[in-house]
Amino acid sequence: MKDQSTDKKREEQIDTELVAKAQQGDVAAFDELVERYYGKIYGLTYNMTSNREDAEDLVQEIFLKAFAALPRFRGKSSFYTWIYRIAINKTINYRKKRNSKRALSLDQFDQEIKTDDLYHALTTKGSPLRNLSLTELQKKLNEALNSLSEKHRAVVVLHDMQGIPHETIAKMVGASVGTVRSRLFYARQQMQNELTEFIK
Amino acid sequence: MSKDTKYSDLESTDPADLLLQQLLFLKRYERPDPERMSRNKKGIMREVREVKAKQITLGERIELHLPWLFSEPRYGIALLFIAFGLLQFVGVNVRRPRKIKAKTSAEELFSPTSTNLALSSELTTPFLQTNIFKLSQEEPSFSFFPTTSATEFPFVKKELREED
Repeated sequence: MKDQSTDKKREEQIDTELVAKAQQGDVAAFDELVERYYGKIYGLTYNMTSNREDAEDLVQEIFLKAFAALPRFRGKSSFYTWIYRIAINKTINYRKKRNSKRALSLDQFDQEIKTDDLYHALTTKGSPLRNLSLTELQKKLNEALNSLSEKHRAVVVLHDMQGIPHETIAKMVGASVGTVRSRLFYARQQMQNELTEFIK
Repeated sequence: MSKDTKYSDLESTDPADLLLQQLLFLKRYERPDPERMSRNKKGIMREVREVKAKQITLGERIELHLPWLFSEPRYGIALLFIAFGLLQFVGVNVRRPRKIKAKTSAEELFSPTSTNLALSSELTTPFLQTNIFKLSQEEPSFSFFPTTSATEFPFVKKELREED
């Protein structure tokens, strides 16, 4: 626990230094920030849109927006929270403007999944998922996610997929912790209804 | 999902809820194509460098657009007029004194202020009454008060007696 806290502080310190350099016009420092956050931001946009082409376009827009807004970043929150806030707002606006029922365009599952104990547990005899292929499972999950509203989906992606705590999500989405918990509860209920043939 | 989180960390008392969380947890194995990811990162940095190259200072911008003012004199003069107008507006606003807060209620308007009290006390002093009376005696046309009788001014009476 203490190690995690120390790691987090060290990461924030690195971010602060990189941000300061980037604010002074150091493009290489911004490149480093892109390198550090690309995966997380891509994960958010991909799971929000279920479309990898849209996700790539969005990530590009998000980083360009962050670069343009960087001189105005005063460090009141961490860079991590700040860029996530930009990403969430951009993605929600993007989905509102475009048809949210676009065709799915999904990334492949890594073969590493087959070595995961959880995967084994879920696909063994007796599990409702035993006869389901990975592709089918992926499609069903993304369809269930697509049935949620933007705000509910954002909370599910941030908490259940990216493992971000409620308090941090509250800062990112600009809502209270109670609202975040309530959205998560409602979203899970709705997803369970969508996946009723496997889950209930 | 962050690297530190394990599926054993998932907490839920409801089996259906737990199963859903486990399924969502598996989505972390969806990985973007490394080549596409690398290409996209390069694309981002190329755009960033282009934006950076386009960013010029205010001085550079003025220097860049200064010839335009001379090549298009009409617009240049119009621009100067606008600039002078704005400066004038700013100057007037700076010089203008602050407005005194207007008295709004009748109570405030007719309240006995210290000045009013001082004036009323002066008019009732024996000294002033004497002077007014003397003036009315010297100038017959003076009719500030409806009466000219010294008997109506108790203080005047006393002073006149003393003079007599």
